[in-house]
Amino acid sequence: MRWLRLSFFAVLALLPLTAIAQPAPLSQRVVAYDIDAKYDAKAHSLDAVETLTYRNLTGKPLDKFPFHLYLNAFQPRSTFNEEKRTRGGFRTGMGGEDNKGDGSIDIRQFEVIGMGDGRHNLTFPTPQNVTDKMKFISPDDGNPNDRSVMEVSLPQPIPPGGEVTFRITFHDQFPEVIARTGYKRDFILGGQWFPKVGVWWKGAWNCHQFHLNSEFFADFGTYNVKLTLPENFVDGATGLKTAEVKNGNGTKTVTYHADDVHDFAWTADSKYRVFTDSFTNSAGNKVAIRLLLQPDHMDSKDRYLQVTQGTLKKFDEWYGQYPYSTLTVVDPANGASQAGGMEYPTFITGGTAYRLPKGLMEVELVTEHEFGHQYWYGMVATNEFEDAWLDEGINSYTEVKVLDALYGRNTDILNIYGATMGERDEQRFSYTSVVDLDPMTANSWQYANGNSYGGVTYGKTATVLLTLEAIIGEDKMQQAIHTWFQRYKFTHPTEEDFMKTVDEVAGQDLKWYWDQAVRGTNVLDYQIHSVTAVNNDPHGKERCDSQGKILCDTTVLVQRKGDFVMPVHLEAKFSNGEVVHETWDGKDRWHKFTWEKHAKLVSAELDPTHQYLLDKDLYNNSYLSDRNSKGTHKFVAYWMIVTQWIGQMLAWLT
Amino acid sequence: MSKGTVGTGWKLVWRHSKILWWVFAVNLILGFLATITPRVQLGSVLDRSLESNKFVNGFDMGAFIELVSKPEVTLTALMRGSIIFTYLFFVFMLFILGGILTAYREDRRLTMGEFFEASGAYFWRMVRLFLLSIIPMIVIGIIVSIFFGISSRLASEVSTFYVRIAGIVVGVILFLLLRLWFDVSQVRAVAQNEHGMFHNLRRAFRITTRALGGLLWMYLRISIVAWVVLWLGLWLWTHLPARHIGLSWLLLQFVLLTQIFARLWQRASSVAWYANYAEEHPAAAVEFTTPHPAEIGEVPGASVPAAEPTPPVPPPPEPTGYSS
Repeated sequence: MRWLRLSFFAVLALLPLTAIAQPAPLSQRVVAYDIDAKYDAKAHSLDAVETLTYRNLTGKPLDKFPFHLYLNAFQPRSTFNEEKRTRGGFRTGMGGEDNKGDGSIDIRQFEVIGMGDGRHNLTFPTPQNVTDKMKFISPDDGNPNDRSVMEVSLPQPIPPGGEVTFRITFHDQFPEVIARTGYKRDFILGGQWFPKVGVWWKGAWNCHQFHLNSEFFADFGTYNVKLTLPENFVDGATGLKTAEVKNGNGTKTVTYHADDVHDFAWTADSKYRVFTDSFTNSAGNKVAIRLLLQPDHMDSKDRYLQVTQGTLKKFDEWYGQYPYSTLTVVDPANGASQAGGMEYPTFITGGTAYRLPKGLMEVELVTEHEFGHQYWYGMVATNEFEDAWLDEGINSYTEVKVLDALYGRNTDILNIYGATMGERDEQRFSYTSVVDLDPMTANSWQYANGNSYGGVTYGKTATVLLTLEAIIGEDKMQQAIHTWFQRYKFTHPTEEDFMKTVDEVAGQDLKWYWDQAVRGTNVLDYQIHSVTAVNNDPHGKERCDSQGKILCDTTVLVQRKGDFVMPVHLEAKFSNGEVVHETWDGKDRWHKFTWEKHAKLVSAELDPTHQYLLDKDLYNNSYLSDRNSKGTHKFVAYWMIVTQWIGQMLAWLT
Repeated sequence: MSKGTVGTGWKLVWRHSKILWWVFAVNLILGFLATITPRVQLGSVLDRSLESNKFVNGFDMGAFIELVSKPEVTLTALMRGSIIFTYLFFVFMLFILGGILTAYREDRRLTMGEFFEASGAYFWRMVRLFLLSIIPMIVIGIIVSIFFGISSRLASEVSTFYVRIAGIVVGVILFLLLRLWFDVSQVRAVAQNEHGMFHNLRRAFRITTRALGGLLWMYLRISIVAWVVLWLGLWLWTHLPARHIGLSWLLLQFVLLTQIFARLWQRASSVAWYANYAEEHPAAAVEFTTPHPAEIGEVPGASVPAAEPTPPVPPPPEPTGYSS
């Protein structure tokens, strides 16, 4: 008895240790995917069996389940292709006119193999075959030819708190790389390749069709994926590789496991070169970085690794820890750039080129951006269909901040022979081309066109947040984003959640800003309309000059050209060295600033600190009393040279 | 052969440097005229704005894109002037080509009247030669695009890069060969006062192919000098501070002048080569003379019987061209 008692206490004492050994889930694990897949590298197809356990945390009984079948978007007459035909895409080459073959996902069998009420889990001795209970639905546009969403009806509902286990046998046919997924020679990027259940959100199923300009939305859970691939292929995927077995027939089976993620992607190529690195976060946890690099891009290796390290560090410092133990960075194959620049949990794809000049920061830009998505979308899992700006835009903003910190303020992402383009300017310029077409709150598939989608969700959002930073202060903005991450990681927050968080941290009601910048299409454009300077003496004949002999009445008229109202700051410089700062609430259509001085106005400038990047036209924000033609002369000089050169080159044809 | 010809060509251009300066001047003036619209449109935006500083200390592409997106600045209007003036320069060069080749061939200072008379006389022939050159240019374009097409299907990016470089090099060499052939045609058209351009091209083709190695080497050497000067000039330009607009402009004008010089040098060399090695000289016409009949004087005291009527003398045979 004594030894039994001792054993009992020993077990009790050891229990906390077992709790430590099993880390607590980071998310509400709604789904558990177990997939066993075999990839045929010659046919570029895949056969798999997916076992999906879904926990009904909706509070309602569920008898219908929608699934994303994203690969079916690459079928003729799909919504994706129809939109491509009529509207044009945002990502380069989205159309895939040169692509070989269509892509598809075909569910061969759909079974219910188990069900539970939360207390008791049942495994059916005979699975319930509900294959004939599947039907394709088009909740967004009613396109009967679109098969990117399928709904299955169950014979009996799953009670709230209960679980259901599906077994889905499916066959994928990968297209040649298009819109983030597919193959190119040996290279394969398996993205959105398995039947993925929709999200119960705001009291209903949220499962949109795959559109030309939309991304993804899914629940957190666990993934256990076995992939059988050619033995000579180097593989990478979401999560950690837990096993690798050579099958002796020229194939191998690798197993990957990931917890607290909402997607799973994988890649393989016979040509990858593998490089490893590591990062230790502020909690002392190590992140294993794995770079899968094309052999022709060896000169980009250090660039990839340096920017990954730098970005991990900045995100850790500013927003919060990266909780996963692994990060895979993939360099797509030659001709597979459509698989580049993409994010999946713990797995990102970059982009570079052979002999990419250092003055073109494509590697740094893309890698930083895609890593940023580990936070905005990966952990703060917003709905990319409906609130695209919450991940792409916030990510574009943090991209500017991180690149500022790593490479200098307003990093020149282009710097070749004196021609430069700053990171902020790039964000701004993408927005100014579509300044009043669509609000940020538009659904991603309902933008006017691909340019508007890209310009608004990326560029405008970044510019809106950079301008907001000028209003509430950089520290407050950083704190707001930090709070946003800490409060909403591993959840599905909304636009309102973000705006409320910023209001709360800023300590002010910013509704006036959100209504105009986010919900509306108001255009911010203030200009120096005119400047006059007259002799204060009505009978005086002398004109105002920089000598300061006479008293001058100087008037600067500032006009609000756009419909966006916000306070403006004016800086006026005079010939006697005086600098005057004025503010105006910006509400009326125009406002006059007047001064009486024994000096001439040299220059007047709105937003002298150049922080209101949302202003559509920066050229009309300043006025010089004396013309300064240096800029024009330089332009004209080079214009002349170029014209002469072209003429001279043409003369070679004579 | 070609060493002396290259030197001769250089000297010809140097002696007739007035041509070089005139060509450069026209190029400069037309280039200046093309900047009138940009000067006005860009000035209206930049001259009173602090944003213009983004172009003085460097070249901000973001600011440039925003500038050309403004309604006051229309890119098409800006480019229209440049397009028109480059076209005018092209036509000008085509027009004066006959005069240039005549000046080099005769190696004497032509008066303005003579120069333009020669230009006018050969203009239509030069136009026809240019039009005929378009066909092989298209063929060269197709060959280069084949290289690019092949490169885009390669698995290795390195191979893609080098196949494209190879395509460009092949294109440049083929264009040089084409240029050589047509330059010789132009020279021949002037030297032989040839009017039939198809015939001219055939003859020029034969002449060129017979001396291809030497001719190509002649052109290549001049081109290499031009490319080296170009590379050096651009290297220097990239090291000049962005604010030194005047100095940069002067440097680039100098580089442009050397490129025009190089082209004239090639032309002069081809004229010199043709005169020394390929010019066709027709056989000189020889005048046929028949000696006058000798006069027979009277003998004193001799009785001369009455002459019998003499038979008519047959006409002399046709001259055979034989000269004594």
